[in-house]
Amino acid sequence: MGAYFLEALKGLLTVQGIIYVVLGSLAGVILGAIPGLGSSTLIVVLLPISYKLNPAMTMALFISIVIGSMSGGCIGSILLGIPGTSSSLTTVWDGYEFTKQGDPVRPLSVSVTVSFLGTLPSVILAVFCCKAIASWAVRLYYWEYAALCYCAILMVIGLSKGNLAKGLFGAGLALFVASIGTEKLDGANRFIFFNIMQFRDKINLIPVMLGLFAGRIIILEYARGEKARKVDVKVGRYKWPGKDLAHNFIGFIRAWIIGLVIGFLPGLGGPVASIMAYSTENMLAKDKSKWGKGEIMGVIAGETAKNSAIGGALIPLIALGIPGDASCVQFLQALLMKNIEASPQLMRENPTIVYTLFTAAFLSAIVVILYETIGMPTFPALLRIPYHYLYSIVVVLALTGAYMAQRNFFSMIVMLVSCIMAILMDVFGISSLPFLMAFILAPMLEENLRMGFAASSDGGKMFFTRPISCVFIVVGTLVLIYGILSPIIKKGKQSKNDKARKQAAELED
Amino acid sequence: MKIKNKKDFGLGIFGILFSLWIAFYSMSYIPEAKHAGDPGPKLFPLIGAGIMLLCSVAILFNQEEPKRDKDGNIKPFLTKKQWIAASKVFGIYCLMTLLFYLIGFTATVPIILFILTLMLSKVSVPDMPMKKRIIRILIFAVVAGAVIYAAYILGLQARLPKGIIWKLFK
Repeated sequence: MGAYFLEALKGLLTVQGIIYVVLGSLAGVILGAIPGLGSSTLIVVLLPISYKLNPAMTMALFISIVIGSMSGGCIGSILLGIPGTSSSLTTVWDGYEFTKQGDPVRPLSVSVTVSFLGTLPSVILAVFCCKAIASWAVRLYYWEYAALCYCAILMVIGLSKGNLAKGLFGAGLALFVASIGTEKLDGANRFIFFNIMQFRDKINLIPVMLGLFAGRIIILEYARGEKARKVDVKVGRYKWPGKDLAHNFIGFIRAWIIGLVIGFLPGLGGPVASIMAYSTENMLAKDKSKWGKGEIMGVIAGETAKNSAIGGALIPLIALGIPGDASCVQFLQALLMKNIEASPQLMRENPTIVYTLFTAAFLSAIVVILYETIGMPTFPALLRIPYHYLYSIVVVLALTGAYMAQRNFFSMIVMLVSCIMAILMDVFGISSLPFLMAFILAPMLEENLRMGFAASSDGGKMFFTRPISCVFIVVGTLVLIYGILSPIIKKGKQSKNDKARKQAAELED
Repeated sequence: MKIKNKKDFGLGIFGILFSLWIAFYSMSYIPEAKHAGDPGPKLFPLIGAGIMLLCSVAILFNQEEPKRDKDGNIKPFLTKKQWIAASKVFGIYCLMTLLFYLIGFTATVPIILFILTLMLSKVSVPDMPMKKRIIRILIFAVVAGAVIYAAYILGLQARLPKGIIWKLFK
């Protein structure tokens, strides 16, 4: 392992490597700070051009953007009261209160410090977990893989917030879209509309993602008429938050563990991790009067959890080839573009890529903390960047990227259609994550499901008789049942409470 | 059936019709499996159609309460004005696709950068005088266009469309 890390470090300490990590981290911080944009938008725009880059360097660049963006999200939350990224929502609740009271440096110093302390150990843990899980997972066959994909898709739908039926609807739609074209096993044509040749190549994920992330976001931001945000706050120099950390050390550890575990589960990631950690700490707090009015533990909990979720999400991606969140889907796609399959064999067959990813994560965390501690007084300037310039560049790069994905105009049209589809999904309240997750896992699921049936003489009983496969199927199904039942139970409880209240009111009368 | 939420009702009906169409297409036009034991290429679209059908029925019979504003009116996703604004940006996307085909990458990029930035600036910096705004955006479009050209054509050596219109002048 040490030799691989040294080799990765050598690669990253070249001019190209340093540029990727430093620029990626800084670009991530800036995009994270600006509300509306985030790491996904930048990565998806860079995806089509990454085919020219070395795969290890691509991973280094992408992970640097993610780490920068995750940390930079707190800037908008604390200075503007608008979360830079969805993961920084909880930071608004308490962080912005400090700014209102004229002390933005305290929550900012705490945020950047716990972001670093949350990221680094989670990535170190991911290194060891990935190795252990991957060496176990090489023993998995068709049945286990199909069951794993089934479990991952259902977990995204069952655990993520929102309407379960609509989440499943999105997954069903993704299975249909993934079916378009010539299928791999028999070479049969499926849904080749109007005999257009390009349909035979299957729908490429890149233009779909460009439509879902870049195209849709810019349309909606413009339509909702976001005005230029005035930032009149002055931010002083970074102050080491030793006292705040010492007072809240146990809470910090709890938030870190919550973030790691939630990051590991497919589909949850930073936003859920930060909310879970915030609510846990709020629940355990002896004095709740300050929460929501400027409680530093509120900032520590959310910021720590969302950053430790980064390491958690890397574990299933590297060890099993299962993406945990939208960024991981993009990582997976970047590897697929180079014909590298993310699977348990990845660590054995392409150790340079994996260890470069981890090493870049360490380096990026260091670059981000250095910039954020030294450059803290420049934070308000990041929020003053005129975004009409930024958005138009994103549009041009996105459409150019769509063309480059398959070098044809059909790909640009796919992006336009995906953009319309993404807006319609928003209108009808269908989350894009289940769609995306099912779309990327569909080929793997179909291949393994059909091979599993073909390879077993008992008509698919093997899916249930092999213990690991059975466990995945049971877990996935239980999560789905939980997703169906939990709102019904909640509703029942609520109506019981309402009845009790009514009865009490009647008795009082 | 009571229509509690028009959007959910519409989605439910669309989902049912769409999934039935997928099922019909799969059964009629997708061939059977070539290997014994393999459920065949029609299995997957049928699973997708089945999931959509079930969910559409669930959505139809379990419509959510629509979001309302303070006055109790149903909150629209976007207002009429906002839909027009959204269509304008989408129109720019379509224009870029068309220009890519007609005049190629090099000429399209600064044109789109100029039009889109000018449009977006009306919202983000509404107080800036028009003349000043146009000059700034023009400079931005030329410089950013040159940087993007250098990055894609010179740096990445990407093969991007040159435009069919120029062929007429050759």
